[in-house]
Order: sequence, then C-alpha cells, then structure tokens
Amino acid sequence: MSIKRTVLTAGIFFMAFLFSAQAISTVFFTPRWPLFGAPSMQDNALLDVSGVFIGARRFAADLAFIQLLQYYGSEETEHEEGEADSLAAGVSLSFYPHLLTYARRSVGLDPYFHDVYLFAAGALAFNLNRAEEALSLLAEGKKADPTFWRYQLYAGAIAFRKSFQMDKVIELLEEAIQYPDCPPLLENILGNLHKKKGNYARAAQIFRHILETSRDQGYLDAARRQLETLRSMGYTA
Amino acid sequence: MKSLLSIARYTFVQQFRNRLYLVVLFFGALLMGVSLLFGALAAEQEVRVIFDLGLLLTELFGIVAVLFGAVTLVLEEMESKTIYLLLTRPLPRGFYIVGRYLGLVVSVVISLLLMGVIHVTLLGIKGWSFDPHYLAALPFIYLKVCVVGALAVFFSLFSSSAVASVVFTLFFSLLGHFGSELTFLARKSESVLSVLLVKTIIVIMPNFQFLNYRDVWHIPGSPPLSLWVWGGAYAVLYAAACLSLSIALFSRKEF
Repeated sequence: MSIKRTVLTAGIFFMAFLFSAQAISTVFFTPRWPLFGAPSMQDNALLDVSGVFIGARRFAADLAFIQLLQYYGSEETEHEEGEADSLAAGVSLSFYPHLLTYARRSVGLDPYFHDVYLFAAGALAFNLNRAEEALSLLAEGKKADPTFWRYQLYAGAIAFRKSFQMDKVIELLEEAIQYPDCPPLLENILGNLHKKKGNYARAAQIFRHILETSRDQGYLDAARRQLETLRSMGYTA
Repeated sequence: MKSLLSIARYTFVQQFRNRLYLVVLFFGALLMGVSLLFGALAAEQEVRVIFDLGLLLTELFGIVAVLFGAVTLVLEEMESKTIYLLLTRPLPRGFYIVGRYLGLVVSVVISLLLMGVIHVTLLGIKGWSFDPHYLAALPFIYLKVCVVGALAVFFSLFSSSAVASVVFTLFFSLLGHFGSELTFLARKSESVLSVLLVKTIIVIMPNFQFLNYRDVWHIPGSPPLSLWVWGGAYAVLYAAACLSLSIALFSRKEF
C-alpha cells in the first residue's frame, strides 16, 4: 500500500470518527460536571483531580465518602448516638463542623451517590441538630436526581423533627427503613426514638435488624448494647 | 490474509509468554488485599467500593498491559533485527502492523476476562447480587484498551523511543478522560486562540468519556442503547485511524 493511500485511508477514518463523535454527543448524555462543581477541600484536591483524570469519578467519590465516615467516626464521636438530640441549644456546630463540606465533596464528584445524601442528611438533622444544612443537602440531591423520591421522604421527616412532631417523624422513618439502602444510622435513630417513647418491643426489633444486616462495626456494637439493655428490661426481639 | 493471521497468532502467544499472566496474578493479589482494607473502612458501601475499584483496576491493568505490549511490539523486533526475517518475505507492511495489533488486543481480552472472573468471585464472596451493568462495563473497558493500544503502536513508530511512546500515549489517555472539563474551560475562556487550541485538542484526543460506561451507568437516563453502536463505532474508527497512520509511518521506515 502506498503512503499516499494509507494517509488517505487514515484521513477517511479520521473524518468517520469525527462523525461518530458528533453523533454520540447528540445521543449520549455525558454529565458535564465542572471539575470543582462543589466547594472542594484543598487538602484532597489532588486526589479528586486524579480521580477525574483517570475517569474514575465514582471511585473518587467512594474515597471521599470513606473520608467522611472516618471524620464522622473520629474522636468527636465519643458520645452516644442521639445524644446531640438532647442538646437544648438549637444548633450544635461544635460537633463535626465540616460534615456538610465532606458530603459536598463526595457528591460533587458523583452527584448521583444517593447514600451520601441520605447518610449525611440523617447525621446532620438527627444527631447534630443542624436541620437546615441537612435540608440544603437533600435539596441539592433532589436537583441532581429528581427521580429519587426518597429525598422527599427524608426531608419530610427532618421538617417534622424541626417542629418536634415526633410521631410524624417515626411514621416517616418507619417508611424509610423499609428500603434496603436505608443507612443503619437512620435505623439506629428510629430505634432510639421508639425507646424514648417507650415502644421497647419495636425498638428491640429494629436493633435486632441492625445486628443482622449492618456491616458497620460501630452500629453493630451499639445495637448489641441496646439489645442487652432492653433484654434486662424484659424485652426481646 | 493467512500471513496476517499467522502474525496475530505469533503475537498472541508471545504476549502470554511474556507478561500477561503476571499482570492477572498481580491484579488478583492486589484486589484481594485492597478489598480487605476497604471492607474495614467502607462499612455499608463495601460492595460499591469493591465494584468500582475492581472495574477501575481491570481497566488500568488492561491499559498497562496493552501499553507496554504495543510500545515494545515493533521496537523490540527492530532493535533485535528479527524484523528483517519477516520483511524479507512477500509480506505487505500494513499486514505486519495490523497482525501484531490484532494479536495484542486478542491476548488482552483474555487477561481482561480473567480479571473479571477474579473480581466477580470476590464480589460474590462479599454478598453482591449480580448486576447486568457489570457485563456491560467490561466491553467498554475493552474498547478503551483497544484505542490506547492503537495510539501506543502509532507513537512507538512516531517517536522510536519506548519511554517517549509511553509518555505520549499516557498523556493522550489521561486527557481523553478530561473532555468535558476541557469543553468547560473552552466555554469559560475569552481568548479566541486558546478556545481554538482547546477545541483542536478535544477533536484530536480520544474522548474516553464516551466509553466510560463504568462511571456513568448509574445516572438516570444514561447511557442509552445507541451508545453500544456509536461508542463501538467511535472506538473502532479511532483505532483504525491510528493504525492507518502507523502503517504510513512504518512504510516510510528504511531498514
């Protein structure tokens, strides 16, 4: 094959792939996420950019979520789940002030990572008494994926929590925990709410469920402790 | 045609004897180790993390295997002079390049499948319920690997240095994932010259976002079925353009 012919062939292929690129752009929704769409944490910017460079936004978001879990599980968590609930002072910013930033970093990389919204919103609203932050995060999640209606469910529960309508909160959380992707954090909160209201049998059922399904050692230990307490009171699941 | 298949078969055997099994074994060991670590860290998200990490490692190891295979494919034979034995026969030079490339990409598909089996086994152990998206992600990874292989063959003939070829190919591959960010930058820039430059880069670089199924399958409404057709066509045509240029370069070489 002469050089002229091969260059011509290359040119034809090049034109053809340009055409296919144009065609693919019209049929394929390529998410156009700007590199730093969400406020990024400078310390981790290199890690996030590397994830984008190798086409691994999902995995970069996973790593960001693991860092969120590590932050939320760090020394500051040396209090019982729900303890912040009882804080009379409206907003407890002293606990994990950067939790929302961590969550935004993860969902900035993958805006469709539902579990981050659900976990962080649950922690912010029910454990840290920062309902406004939780609601704003859920609103961002709803904007990214309006088809995921569970954000509405969580937002409803948080709104009732704000107005201290605990029966309504329990009703919505009962619905939320029916879904297999419901974070154990919410189950734990619901168990504690039932315990506070004196519904010991239902609380025991929920803690038993956490013990059977959760992979998180922290929640497993907490559920085991709760079940022991309830058993000493004569309630078993 | 027979000579093309002979070269492809020879390359396939050569690749497997050289390094591909080692790559697969290393992948398995690495995945096992890393998944144990993430098992402890990711808690409820353990399966998602192993799913994403496994597909990413499958792609990276596939790219590493094809990159080093392609870069040394012709250069090694030129340096050891064994290429003379082939070129003294009545063999079109284009057949030599295409045959070598086909042998390489066929050998890589087997290593990708082996890595997939290791990955799925590990996911199964961790309680993953089978998701058909997994099966859809692997062919797109393979298409990406094929494009990188064709680019590496082109650069190995263009630069005549293995290191420079690896660097050029990696540069193109990395920028290939940066398409949407480059478009974003072009839109923000006010300088006509820089917009033109960025747009030229976008056109020349392979747009791997089109083939990045493993990163976008969970987005509602994406990707559509037509991605199979257009994504496949895009990758095949891009690889064909690179190989045509490689043949043009190889035809001009004097031995």
